[in-house]
Amino acid sequence: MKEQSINSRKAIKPRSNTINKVEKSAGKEKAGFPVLIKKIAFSGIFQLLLRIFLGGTFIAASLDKITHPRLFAEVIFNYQILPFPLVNLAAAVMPLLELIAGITIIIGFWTRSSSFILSGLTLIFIAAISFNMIRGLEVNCGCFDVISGSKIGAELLIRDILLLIAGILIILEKKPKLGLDRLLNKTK
Amino acid sequence: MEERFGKVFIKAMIMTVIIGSAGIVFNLVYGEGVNTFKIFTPPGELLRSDPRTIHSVEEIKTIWGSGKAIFIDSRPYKDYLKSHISGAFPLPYDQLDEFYPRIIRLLDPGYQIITYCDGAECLSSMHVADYLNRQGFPRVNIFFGGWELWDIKNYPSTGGEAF
Repeated sequence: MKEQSINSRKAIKPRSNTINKVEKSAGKEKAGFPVLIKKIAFSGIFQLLLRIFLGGTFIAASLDKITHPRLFAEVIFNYQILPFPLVNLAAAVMPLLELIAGITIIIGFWTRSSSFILSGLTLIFIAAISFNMIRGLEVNCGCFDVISGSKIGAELLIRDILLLIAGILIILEKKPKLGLDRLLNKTK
Repeated sequence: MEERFGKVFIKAMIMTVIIGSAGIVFNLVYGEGVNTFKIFTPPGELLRSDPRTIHSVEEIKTIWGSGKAIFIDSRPYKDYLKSHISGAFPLPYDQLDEFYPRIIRLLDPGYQIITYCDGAECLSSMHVADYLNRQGFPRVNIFFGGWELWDIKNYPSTGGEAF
């Protein structure tokens, strides 16, 4: 048994060496499916699409809240998570944050920071929705329009998780392309 | 140039503070805004303490039966279409500008007007009452229990278009 395991170890070693050689010959890049996905995920066009998806969703969601802050405060109150003194603050701050960060992420200004803000908001939404789903409280979503009776549910959670994934992918791209950040860095 | 994560975080905080302050100021200036420096009052409490509120559903039913008041539904129009208090007119709070010109010809400043929304935990009935007061209708009351209570009591209701 011992001999066999030693032999098998020996047998593996040269194999991995050959793979390394192949990789080196292919322009220092690793081959394989995950690498391809990584390449696509961090390509300029795909990142731009992610930014439009994330930013566009938040801009669309913010407009009705900006024009009806009082109704939005009611929606926040109905989630029954925030203490009363913070409800009005959240209703005043959140919609404008969604709008401006949505715009900056699309034009690519402070892209990663904007994505950090939007991902943070999405994370809060996911927590708030799942918390209320677990305790069985059927609250109005207040996602895109503050007055309609659309309730929170699983599909909403899935949409928010997709938004979060998009946000994280944008944060992970250390050199944002196709945006103002790129232009600003060039002029420096 | 690669950006360190610490810098990303600090920039995000700067953005949040600047935009957040702008949001607070905007809401103080904007007529329909919330005041961050005041503690939020739950809708039920606000409605309960409003002098225009009528609490008893029986009283509302009597007013409705007398035919001397006009009922205004302030819920979203799609909820109105599903079902509403029989004879009520739609004036959705999110579409005031669109619906007000359509119902103005049906209203008379001498009439009593009763506004209602979903129930005790919504404020659009109060906002619409404020709006009608500003438009020159002095006799506006709010039905506290709203559609929820009317529906529970199985009082007359209809669905479909109003006009």
